[in-house]
Amino acid sequence: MSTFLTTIGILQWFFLAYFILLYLVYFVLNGVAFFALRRHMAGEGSDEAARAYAGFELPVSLIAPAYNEAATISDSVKSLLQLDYPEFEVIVVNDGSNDATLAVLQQDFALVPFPEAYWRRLPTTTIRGIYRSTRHPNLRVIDKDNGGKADALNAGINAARYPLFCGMDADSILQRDSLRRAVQPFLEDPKTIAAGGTVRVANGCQVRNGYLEKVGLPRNPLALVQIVEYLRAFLFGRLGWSPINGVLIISGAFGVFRKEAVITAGGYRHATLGEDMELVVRLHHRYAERGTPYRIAFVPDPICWTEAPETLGMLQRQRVRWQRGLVESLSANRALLFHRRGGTAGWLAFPYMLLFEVLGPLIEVCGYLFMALTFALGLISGTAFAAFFFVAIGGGILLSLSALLLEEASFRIYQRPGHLLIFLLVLIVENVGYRQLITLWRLKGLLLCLARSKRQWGDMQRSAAWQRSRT
Amino acid sequence: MLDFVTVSDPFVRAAVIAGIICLGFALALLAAIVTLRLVNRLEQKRQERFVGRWRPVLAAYALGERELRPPPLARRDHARILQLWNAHYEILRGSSVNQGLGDLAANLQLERIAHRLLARGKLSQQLLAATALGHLQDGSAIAVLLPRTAHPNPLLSLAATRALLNIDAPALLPELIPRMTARSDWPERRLATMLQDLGPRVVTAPLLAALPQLQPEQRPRLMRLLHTADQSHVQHLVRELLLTEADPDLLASALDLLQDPRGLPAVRELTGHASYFVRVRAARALGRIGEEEDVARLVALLADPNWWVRYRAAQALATFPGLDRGRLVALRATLEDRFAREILGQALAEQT
Repeated sequence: MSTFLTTIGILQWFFLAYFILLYLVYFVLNGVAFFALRRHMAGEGSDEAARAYAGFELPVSLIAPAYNEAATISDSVKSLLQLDYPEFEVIVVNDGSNDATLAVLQQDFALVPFPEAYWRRLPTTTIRGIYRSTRHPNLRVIDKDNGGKADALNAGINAARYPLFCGMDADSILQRDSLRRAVQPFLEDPKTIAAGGTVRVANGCQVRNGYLEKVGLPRNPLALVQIVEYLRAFLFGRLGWSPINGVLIISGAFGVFRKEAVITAGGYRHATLGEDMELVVRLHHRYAERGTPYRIAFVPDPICWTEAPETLGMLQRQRVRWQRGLVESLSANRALLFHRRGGTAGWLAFPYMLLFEVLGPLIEVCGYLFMALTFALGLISGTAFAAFFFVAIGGGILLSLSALLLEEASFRIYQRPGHLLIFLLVLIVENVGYRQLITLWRLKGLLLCLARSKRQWGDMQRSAAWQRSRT
Repeated sequence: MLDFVTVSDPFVRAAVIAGIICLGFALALLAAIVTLRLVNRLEQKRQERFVGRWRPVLAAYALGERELRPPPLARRDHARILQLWNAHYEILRGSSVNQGLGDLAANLQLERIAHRLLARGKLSQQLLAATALGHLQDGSAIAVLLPRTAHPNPLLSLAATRALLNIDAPALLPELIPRMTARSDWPERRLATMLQDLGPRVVTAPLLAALPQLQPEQRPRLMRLLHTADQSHVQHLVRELLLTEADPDLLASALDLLQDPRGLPAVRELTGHASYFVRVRAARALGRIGEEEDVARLVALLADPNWWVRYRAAQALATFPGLDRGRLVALRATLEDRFAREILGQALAEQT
């Protein structure tokens, strides 16, 4: 019996210590992110910096995989063609759509078959045809058999003519200077092989011709909570790692890569749901193995806006998928963990991901269940139970407030006083209920991954309400 | 609350202390967020008022109305006035405009302001200051700008370089060229534009004089900047390099510059070079200056193992003087190599 009680006591301390450690690590990341952001806003992120580089950016190939996007593809491509950037090409990859995606593109952009000498440097499914637009010389469309997003991106990379490529989702909403901002790290440091930026929630915003016109807050409460969550994830979750070259994730919604670096690494992998993260981790691994100096950067500027799920069902599928992608990406590149030349990525970022992002949901859910169960059985006092949740939830609120502070100290996207008040209320909800639900789904993703169940993307039902606003 | 703290259970004590610390920080952050919001709002309004007050003054001076007395300038607005002044200078170019804005700068002692911000301002302010000193052509700023061309931040070092070239390019270019070739974080296109703005008369001699003195690994970069120089002085150097040099980077850069048909023998030799990027440039050079006999060489390159060599050779053929489309289509039909046929087909399609 005393052994049993001792075990209970040890586990109590373990779960408390885990949460305290988790928040301490987040706090350190927050501190790094704060100074990185201040430096960025005073230097590379300033208008003077943007002007200094304007017109001298490297040419970029924009690769937009598309699968069954007939309703939105035309507007998406038109918006890409209007990007404010000196030299770029757009490559749309129709990944075996069984709707009218190709027909819409052919009609709206006057596509004609183009006898391209396709250079198959990365293996892909069969290419049915390549088309060129007679109206827009910098637009090409690749029509291929279905192979998934990774396969479509690889096909686009094969056809890309420029030294940099930008992998994106066809329905990503950009700002006119998105590409300029994302390419800046490559100009500042030639060792840069990849760069990502902050993704924001588009729900509730006004979009015209595919570009963000006015920022707004969504009415949907789930989307509202995700705004705060995204701030936390990007503003210090990723920015905190950037100065020490520990960024392990670049969002598939918008990321710029050095083409040759990706081809040498083998391109995107099909056998994972998180092909975007897997590629970045693999790049770290490859360069660490070779001992070649490199940099993977994160640009804190908001450069891409995406529609967040507005129903619990869609949100669940998304988070389960993300967790599976995370586990698969780390598992496929586990040799990076504590690699001799792994640097920050191998010695700090990878262990952090393993402990807090992969195993974290398991520990957290077990912690909540353990505390609730032991309290219900009278094995711990109500005071201990309350104190535990005080820490678990209080720490989360603190971190969400940190994210809001970072936002206030930098981009101040949501300027109306009412917005701030709403966020302050939302961040309480985010930490009481929402976060626990997400943790549960992430645990589901982890268990499904371990059980090696069949990978499914599921269907994201996009309302694309923002696209109804046009000139 | 005190009861919680005095509870003997160490677990509870630890949790409560951690929770109180979190709460304390949370309240502090909340206060910081609200304060920051208010400060930013005030700052924004101040900026709007400043621009509203000063924009007419700058416009008036730019138009030559020097009698207008500028309003008082607070120290906290020094960076703002530099930003506004730089923007006006860059948009409204012209000697009379420059004169008017120069008079305003003298009136406001902008040189002194720029020196101070360059010495003690944050990075964005230093950029403004360096840019302004260049526009003002302040000779006394050379001593403070030169060391900044070695600053690790590429933006500041480039801004200082640009400012120095504005002040006295003929005297300073020889000193700046080695830095231009050594700094891989300075975009070449940016440097090329700076040199183009100065003109071939200013840049040719210093660039050519610098080449033999550079380290071997820096020479290709300088070669890539030579297109901004007077080509009548550059071509003989290029021909000589193509015959004597072994470094593939240098050969590639020289091939890009070649316009003189007297360099053809060397180019023909280089179509068989081991490095693909030399063969790529050789194909392009043949397309530019080649003769009828070079068509066969370009056709042979259509079957090169490297895609880019094949592509440039195909482009060169598609735009070769004297080769009409009919002849090219007939030529394509005779090609046995599938890759050669494909790449020439693509190049022909691109011409339509």
